[in-house]
Amino acid sequence: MGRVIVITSGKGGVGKTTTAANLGTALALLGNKVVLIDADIGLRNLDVVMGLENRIVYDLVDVTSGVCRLRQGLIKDKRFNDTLFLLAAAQTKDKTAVSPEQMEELCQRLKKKFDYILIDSPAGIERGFQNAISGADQALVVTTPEISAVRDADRIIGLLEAAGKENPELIINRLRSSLVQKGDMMDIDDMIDILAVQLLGVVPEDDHIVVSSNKGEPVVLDPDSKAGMAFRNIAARIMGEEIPLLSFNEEVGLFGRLRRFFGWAQ
Amino acid sequence: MTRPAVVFKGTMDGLVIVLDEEAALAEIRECLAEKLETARHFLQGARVYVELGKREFSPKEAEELVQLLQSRRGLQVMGFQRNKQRVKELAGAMANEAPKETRCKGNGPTAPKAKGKGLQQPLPPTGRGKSRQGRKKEDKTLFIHHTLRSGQSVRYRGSVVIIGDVNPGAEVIAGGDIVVMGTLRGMAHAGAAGDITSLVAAQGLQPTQLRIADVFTRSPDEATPVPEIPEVAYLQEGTIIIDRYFTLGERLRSSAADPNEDEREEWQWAE
Repeated sequence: MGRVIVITSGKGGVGKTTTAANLGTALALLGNKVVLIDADIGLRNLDVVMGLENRIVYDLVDVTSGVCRLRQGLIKDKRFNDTLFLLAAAQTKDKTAVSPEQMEELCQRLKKKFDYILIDSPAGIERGFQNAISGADQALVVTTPEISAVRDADRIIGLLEAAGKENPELIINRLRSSLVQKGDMMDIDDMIDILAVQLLGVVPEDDHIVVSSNKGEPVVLDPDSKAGMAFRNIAARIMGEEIPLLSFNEEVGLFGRLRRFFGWAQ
Repeated sequence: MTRPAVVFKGTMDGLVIVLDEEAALAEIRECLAEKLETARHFLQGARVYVELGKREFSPKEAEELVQLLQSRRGLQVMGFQRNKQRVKELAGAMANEAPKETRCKGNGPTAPKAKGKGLQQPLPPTGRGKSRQGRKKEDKTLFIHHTLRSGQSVRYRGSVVIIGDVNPGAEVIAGGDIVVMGTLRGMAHAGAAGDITSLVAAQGLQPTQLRIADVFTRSPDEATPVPEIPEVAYLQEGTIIIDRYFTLGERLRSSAADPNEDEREEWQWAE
């Protein structure tokens, strides 16, 4: 029996879709059978980030409304051998084209065939969000170190708890350690202090993300990317492994290392 | 598609729940429960009237309905009506209306600058606070055993104790005192019904805005270091004072010993 995980945030632009694409790919890399569902009907993106846009024939609405069979709606990722699939959102419909009950039923069916079902939630707290969380066993809340994003994450956690999705876990995205060190950005402790949820992982700001999203190749496939490594670690933590958080301190150079060696570091 | 057994309508005086004249009571109950669930954030603590149309309704049925509405989302049934005319025939059902978690009802005066939600009545001219001793006897205290997150709101006629934090974007509005056993970062309004003796205490007092009775204050625009000790806010001569929590006992003792308490109140309100 698989696990349904919804990736949500409230605020837009914090990296829900990037997170969904990368965690899905990383979980598949780790040998799981994974399906990604784009629940952002009308504003689909996940297919682009995954590089599968040109393969969409049927979408989520076609599946839930019975236009096609579930099998036909699942787009196979060419990089993986039958272990990673995408169920794309409809672009010409809107959020009301699917009901929470239909999503729940869909998740139940997918659970029988897959290890992980990742749902990419739209921004906002309305119908699209309600659809996305309805079938989920667990929620991952993505936030960035900005007050507005943390505020929205707090709201979302409240709504998740009210909907009976207990113990959501947090992913902090786009952390810039140089700014944190200077005290110009919220640090991890500030955020955990307010949100009071389990921290699943921290993803550093990384230029590779922009490049890889545009190329349609999730950054976890890039061995040189720090963000990719962070996502791979998060995927392993989802599978129950205990992996310590990455350290994001900037390279400090020889002098800094010497200083640290002699214990003069602040 | 058949007509739904229950329809919610917004009118000038508030929300009206229109019951289908022919639908069976069980159907109404089911439909209502579903609607309450889907619109729960919107309906929380709302004041509603029930439109019966030509439907016959026994007092028992009415009472059951009132209970359903109140138990689910703390809705307050203000009355029944037939064809938009208020009727008194089922007022009996309202007698035991007062739900345990009474939100601050409109009968209480409140800050003129309070947000539109719920508390809209202006301060009545006689808006003099009850004495601290008087209030303690009659009003109960609501305990909230979790953190209030952004967008969550608690309104209660008595005092409120929160075992957890109050996050930015959350609000607590109480007729009496507010005590937060964690960090208060959101908005707190104590003495919302005009009680100027109300206070707000918190383990960490860092509210975005504080209101006591009709006085309100906000956090400074520039970030200031906040002492990490319990603090308490209360009204003194029409201004909100923030003090270390541990001096509170002293203040209360001295105010209890003040024989001219009533006069003092008069003077405070006179400004």
